[in-house]
Amino acid sequence: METVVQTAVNALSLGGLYALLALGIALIFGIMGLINFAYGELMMIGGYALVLVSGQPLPIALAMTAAVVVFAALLMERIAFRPVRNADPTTLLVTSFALSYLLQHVAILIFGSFPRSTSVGSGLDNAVHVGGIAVSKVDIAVIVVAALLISALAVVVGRTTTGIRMRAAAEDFVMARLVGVRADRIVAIGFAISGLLAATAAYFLVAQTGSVGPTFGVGPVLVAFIATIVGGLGSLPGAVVAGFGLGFVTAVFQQVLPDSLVPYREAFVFAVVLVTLIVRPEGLIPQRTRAVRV
Amino acid sequence: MLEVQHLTVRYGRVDALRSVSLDVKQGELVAVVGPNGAGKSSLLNTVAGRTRAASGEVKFTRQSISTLAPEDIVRRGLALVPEGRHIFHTLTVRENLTLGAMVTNGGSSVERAYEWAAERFPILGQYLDVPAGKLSGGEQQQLAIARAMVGHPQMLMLDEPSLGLAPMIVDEVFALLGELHREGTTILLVEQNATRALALADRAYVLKSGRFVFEGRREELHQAGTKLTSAYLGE
Repeated sequence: METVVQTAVNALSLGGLYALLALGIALIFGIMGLINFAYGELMMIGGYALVLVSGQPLPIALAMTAAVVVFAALLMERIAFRPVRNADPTTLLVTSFALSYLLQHVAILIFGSFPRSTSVGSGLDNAVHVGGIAVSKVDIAVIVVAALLISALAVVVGRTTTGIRMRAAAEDFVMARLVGVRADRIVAIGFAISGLLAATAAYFLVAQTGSVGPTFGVGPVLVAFIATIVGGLGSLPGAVVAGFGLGFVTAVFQQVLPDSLVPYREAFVFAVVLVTLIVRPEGLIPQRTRAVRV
Repeated sequence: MLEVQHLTVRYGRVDALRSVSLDVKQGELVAVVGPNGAGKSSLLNTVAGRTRAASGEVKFTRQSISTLAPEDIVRRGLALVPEGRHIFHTLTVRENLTLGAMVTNGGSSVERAYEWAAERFPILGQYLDVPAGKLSGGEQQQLAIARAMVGHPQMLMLDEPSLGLAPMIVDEVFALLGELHREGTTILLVEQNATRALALADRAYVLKSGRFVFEGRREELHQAGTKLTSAYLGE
């Protein structure tokens, strides 16, 4: 019983984190066809921001971090991606790789190549006991925050006029402009939301590892990317489902694999990813239509 | 209302339009007809801001709009219903209309948009909460026109509204355009189906290989008659 609950909590927590990561990628891809690998560096910026604001009361530290990352995301869009917005997808992809490396090396210049440690997430270190079962506070926090953010995003995208504009732009960017959707504004909103998701993910990653280095975001962005592909590129529900799926599969392998194989857990996880993509090459929840960009 | 002056549009080395001039007065229905590849769509796309002109100017209500973004042009009241309709398939009929109505901003106009559309197009009223991709071609064309109209444009441009529709549906679409015209909407209509377009138009331009080869009132066009149609429209 205890292991089942533990595994379930792990699966939900890991899945929630992966879902948040994947949403940040899927959202931008949906709106402008960009797979933003520099999303990982938004997390890295968030991580360093947390290092710098540690010592402030937690709410202030979090608000400042979120503000810094959202600002960085907007700046990224304005400086690097807006000039190439109408270029073909490969140009966008290469731009995002270049930006990603550039920011990693800027981080090395400023902070050095060794990870900085921080205690900003230490409030989440210990565990709480629920009916005799120990559950870590980080896991609970991730699950609650992920649930809140995903629901909020679902409401914004599904029910508000901004959401209608975002979905219209995602389906047919040119036509959206022809019905009055302001291109710059809708893309900026997408980047701002993805910045907020990156800041949230950064906080939980820092809380788990306690340190930040220049390549802090490289691993998570890869997971995010894979979850987005498995979910069906550009599909937000797909990103969420695939994020949780990936978390679930990882947690289960962690639990059921014999000790000698646990170090190879990722290999098993990616085998499942491969099989999923062979069975459903379009992803779990493919976009129903993808308009050709003229 | 709309003045196009010496407009030249190039795609690479190919001239799609060569120094084309056209004007549409308030309340008029003007048709641009001509064979495939004559540059009809290029004309509308450039006026709507999708394509940039190599030279020339476009003025709408006396102000230059040549350098404006598409979203700013439609917000000034010049709406385009593009070729192939381009309704948002994944959005519901209601959401498509909401987008159209939001051009003029304001919440009350959005509510009135559904009422207006439902009254004018009973079929859309029935399917308000259905994804627009599920509608038939004719219904999608109605939605595309409704989406443009609920924004209260001062002028409507339509690119090949009859394309890909069954003859009976084409009748309906042209009847609708006639109605909108009689109610005072200014319309610039681009059509390959010249006969149908000319039956409706106050004035018409015949476009061939990027140039206007004829311009005149409907009566004049009829007089120029068969010679013109066979020479330029290939009918």
